[in-house]
Amino acid sequence: MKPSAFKYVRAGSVEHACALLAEHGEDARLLAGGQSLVAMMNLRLARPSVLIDIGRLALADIAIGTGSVRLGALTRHRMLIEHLGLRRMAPVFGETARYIAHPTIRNHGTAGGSVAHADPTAEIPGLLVLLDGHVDAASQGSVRQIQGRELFRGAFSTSLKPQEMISALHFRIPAGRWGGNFLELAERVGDFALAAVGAVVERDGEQVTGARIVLLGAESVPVRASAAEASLVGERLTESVAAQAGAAAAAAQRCYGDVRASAGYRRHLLSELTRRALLTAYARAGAAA
Amino acid sequence: MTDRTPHQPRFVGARILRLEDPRLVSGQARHVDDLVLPGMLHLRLVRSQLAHATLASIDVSALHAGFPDALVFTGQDIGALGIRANSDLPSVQPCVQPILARERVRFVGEPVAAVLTTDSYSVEDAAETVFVDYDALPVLADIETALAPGAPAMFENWRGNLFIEQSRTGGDIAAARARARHVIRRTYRNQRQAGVPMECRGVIAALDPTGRILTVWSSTQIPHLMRTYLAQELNWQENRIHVIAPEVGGGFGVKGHVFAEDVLVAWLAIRTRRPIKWIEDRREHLIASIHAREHVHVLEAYVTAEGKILGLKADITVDVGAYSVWPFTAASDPGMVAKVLPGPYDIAAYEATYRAVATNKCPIGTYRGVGRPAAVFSQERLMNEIAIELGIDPITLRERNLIGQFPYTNILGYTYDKGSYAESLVKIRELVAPDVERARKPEKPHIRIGVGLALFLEQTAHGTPDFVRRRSPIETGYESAKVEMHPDATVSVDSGLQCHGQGHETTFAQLVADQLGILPADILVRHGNTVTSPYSVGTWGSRGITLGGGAAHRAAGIIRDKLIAIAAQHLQARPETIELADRQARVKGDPTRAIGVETLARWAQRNVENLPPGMEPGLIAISFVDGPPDGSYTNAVHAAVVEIDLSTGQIKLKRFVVVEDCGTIVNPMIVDGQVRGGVVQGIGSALWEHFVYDKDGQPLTTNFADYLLPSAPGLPDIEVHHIQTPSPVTPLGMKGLGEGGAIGPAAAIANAVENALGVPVQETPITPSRVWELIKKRKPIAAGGV
Ligand SMILES: Cc1cc2nc3c(=O)[nH]c(=O)nc-3n(C[C@H](O)[C@H](O)[C@H](O)COP(=O)(O)OP(=O)(O)OC[C@H]3O[C@@H](n4cnc5c(N)ncnc54)[C@H](O)[C@@H]3O)c2cc1C
Repeated sequence: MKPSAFKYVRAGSVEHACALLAEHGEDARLLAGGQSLVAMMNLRLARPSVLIDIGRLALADIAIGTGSVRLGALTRHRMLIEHLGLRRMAPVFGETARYIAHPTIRNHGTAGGSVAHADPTAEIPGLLVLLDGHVDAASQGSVRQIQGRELFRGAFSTSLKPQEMISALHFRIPAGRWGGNFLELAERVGDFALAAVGAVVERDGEQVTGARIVLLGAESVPVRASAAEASLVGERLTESVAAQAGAAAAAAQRCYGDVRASAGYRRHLLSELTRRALLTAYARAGAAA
Repeated sequence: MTDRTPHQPRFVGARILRLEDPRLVSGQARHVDDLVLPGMLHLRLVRSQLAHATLASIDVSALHAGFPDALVFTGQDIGALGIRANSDLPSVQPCVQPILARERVRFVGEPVAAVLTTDSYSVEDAAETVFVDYDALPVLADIETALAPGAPAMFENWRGNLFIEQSRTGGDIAAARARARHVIRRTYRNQRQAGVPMECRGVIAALDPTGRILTVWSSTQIPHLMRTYLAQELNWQENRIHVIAPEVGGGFGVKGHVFAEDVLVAWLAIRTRRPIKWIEDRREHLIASIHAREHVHVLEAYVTAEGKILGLKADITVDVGAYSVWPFTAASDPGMVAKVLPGPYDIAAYEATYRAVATNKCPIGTYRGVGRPAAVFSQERLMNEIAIELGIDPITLRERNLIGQFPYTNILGYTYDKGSYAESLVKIRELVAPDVERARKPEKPHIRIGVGLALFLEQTAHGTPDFVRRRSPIETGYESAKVEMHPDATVSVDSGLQCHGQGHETTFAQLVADQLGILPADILVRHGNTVTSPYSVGTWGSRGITLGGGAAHRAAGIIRDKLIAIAAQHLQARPETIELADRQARVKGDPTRAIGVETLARWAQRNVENLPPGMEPGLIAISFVDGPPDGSYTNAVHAAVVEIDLSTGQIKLKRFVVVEDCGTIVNPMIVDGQVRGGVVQGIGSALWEHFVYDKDGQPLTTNFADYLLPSAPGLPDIEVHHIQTPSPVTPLGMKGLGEGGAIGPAAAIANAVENALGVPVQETPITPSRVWELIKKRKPIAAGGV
């Protein structure tokens, strides 16, 4: 459990990091919180020959605008729980981050690292897809935007290029009355989810004016339950409507089975968690000013 | 004589803080990996990547090219050295595990080649360049495949794939069956687990400059047994091998074996004349140390209309993996189940067949509880199922079958000393009454609460006859201690045990302090070192306090008698009238007639002219204590309260209560700690831990992301209650308790889940996925108490 030999460089700025990436190409890896990468290196599942440490760059700012949230790539998971503005404007961030690992890991792990790592059931990628987000992918001399839905290619695979670095994450939150909820089930507190669901509901009076549902555990990437979302618009979100939407969202998924859970169980969980998340999000939207 | 309790024990029974903790919690403790020797080489093993294959070739050309200074050894170099762990029971098919695989590999992780370099990083790079060419063989990945007609034999000259198949019987099982009103037959399964101490294994071996003395530092629970085995296998004189277990960061039975790596490191040190260090990593530990459990039990109970069990028939199969482990052998787990299944119940007829099946997986060894967690799972699940089938309250059913009088000799001839089985049931019934009430009226429609319990015995401190009956290399069951009082009246205790969390340094000091009238702080307990301590078989089997502590108590008693004899002469009093307390020898009831223990200690060694005529100088004593022939039986009842979400399968453990009786308690805080630690491991067995192989014998759970250990956020506070029924057959009435905590939880939690869902639970771990399968089988049934 010792990593293979590597060179360590500390980047002084985003530009410096991008220059180093350009110089070393596929041999290089960015080191952010190290909570996934270091373990993979010790297991020799990752063997970068150059490690570019971006962990001390000043990229941990959280900005809340109307209808948007921007997280610097190095925002630690813990800040999503503790940031006062987020707690007020978009508590679903903290609610989601609480499911990530344990406090010490949340102190180190970063939003950018989580998205770049792209674990199939990681929470922040789920949030990015739920909130129609995108990332800023910086490379030497340029920045491009990658939509969340296009970013995730498969398990641990993204459309980032080797010379690109995520500098920020952007999330779209509704401008009007809305509520969110994130629910997940894992064997132990802090484990990666067997299945998880995030929901956002916008409402006008009793009526749903917009709905977003993201499912984790259905595919190797977070997926949106678009048909179920569309079916809710214009409805009153009753128990039975929520149950139907949950069933519809889950039925449309292939789901995978492994040693932890069968595909059938995952599908069932997605349905039940969707039902619950929708009801909670709807109620919260109702309570919102 | 020396077993009597000293007047008014001051420290036995006291809640004193552990003396070993300051160094452990402040990072001052030194483990094998902390030891650095000049000229040391680091070992990395090339391990088999296939579960079953012949070794076609081992190509080291890339190694030599890339790492010219590296050394490499294979099975051809090391030859016939091996782990030979065969009992001579009639059905045993013997086998040898080569130290490095020779023609064939039999599980993923089996050592194939040894690579040495000068640092622990480069050696991993170097070992990766060794190329092993395998010819795959059909894999025996499970019991069914291994036992299928025509399955290839695991070893040459074997017929079939059984290490052992034996039976144990008592009473007239046919008559029991004929008289029974109900025949209740069930199959129960427990999963394969890993042992997972915090510190993995590690070994360093070095010759002294003369080449005469081989010192082996190993993270082991059994230093003397390791010395004996190494001497035998390496053909060295035993007095020229020193085995030292420095600080050992947990063992749980895993480190109660002599492994191929231990022999290999010693052999390499002799061969290369360089100190050799091997530190196991977590992946190696998970795939290639020992595993535990993986049982299938088919039980058949013959029961009267009133619920009295007339007879019990058991068929016990354990998937023990590829080799037999030393010294406990492949028979350990299945043999233990066959021995203990009757448990605390009065059963007049019993028949058990047990077998150990060879498969292409990591060998099964001893892990906290050894067979008993599985035995108790089956026994206590069966009691619940009988209760439900007959419509009797489960506690009442147990009471109807309970042993009433002590001593009691069970159907296999084992004599149980005194226990508190019935009282413990009464107590637990009271303790969980509010939960039983809550379980009857669930507050939310999709939440169900269940209460379950497990009543069991833990045979502890078994003496030599118990091991002789097993006819395995363990052979004996005594323990030893050497106690020496120095001229300043401080004391060293050298125990043959090895302490890796049990608190011996504290509890033995408590026992000795009471004997000698001094303070625990005056006593230094040393252990884990064959150079300083008398022979012993090591720490396992819940024997530490009773036998090792008993030996320290007795050896101190010999010194005590000598101090009193010296004091008696000086004080001109009869020895019986003298007591040792407060660092003084004094005439009872007359505090003016006293002399300091320190003065006596100095006289005995420095001013020996003051000794009574004819008395030898010195204050040193050694004692060996063997256990009672059938051991001493600790009893306990565990109760679990679970909450299950019917719509997700999520299971939460809300409460866990233990009522236990380990006889005389030396230190209540240490007992509670041992119980809680064991319970947590038992909860792991019940809910999470599962070592999974695929059909090709490839391990799938090789790190802690996949092998799920219990962790604090998912655990309730564990409540521990005590009853003290001193054993009439052990020193001070102490009974062992090291393993008990791990024995009951799987059964208690499974019974709680059954109670919540009204569906029987036949298998562990009870994961959300499995709970969901159970929920799908639900039909409304009558709730059955606990
Ligand atoms: C015990 C444990 C439990 C965990 N449980 C969970 C869980 O339940 N849910 C969950 O989501 N996560 C979990 N994690 C993972 C944790 O959230 C990680 O922190 C996260 O996945 C990676 O973030 P990091 O900052 O640590 O990235 P690193 O480990 O430093 O890097 C991960 C990968 O991302 C790349 N990378 C990092 N930053 C950037 C960037 N700005 N641009 C481009 N590439 C980048 C790295 O090169 C590397 O390939 C767990 C981790 C542990 C150790």
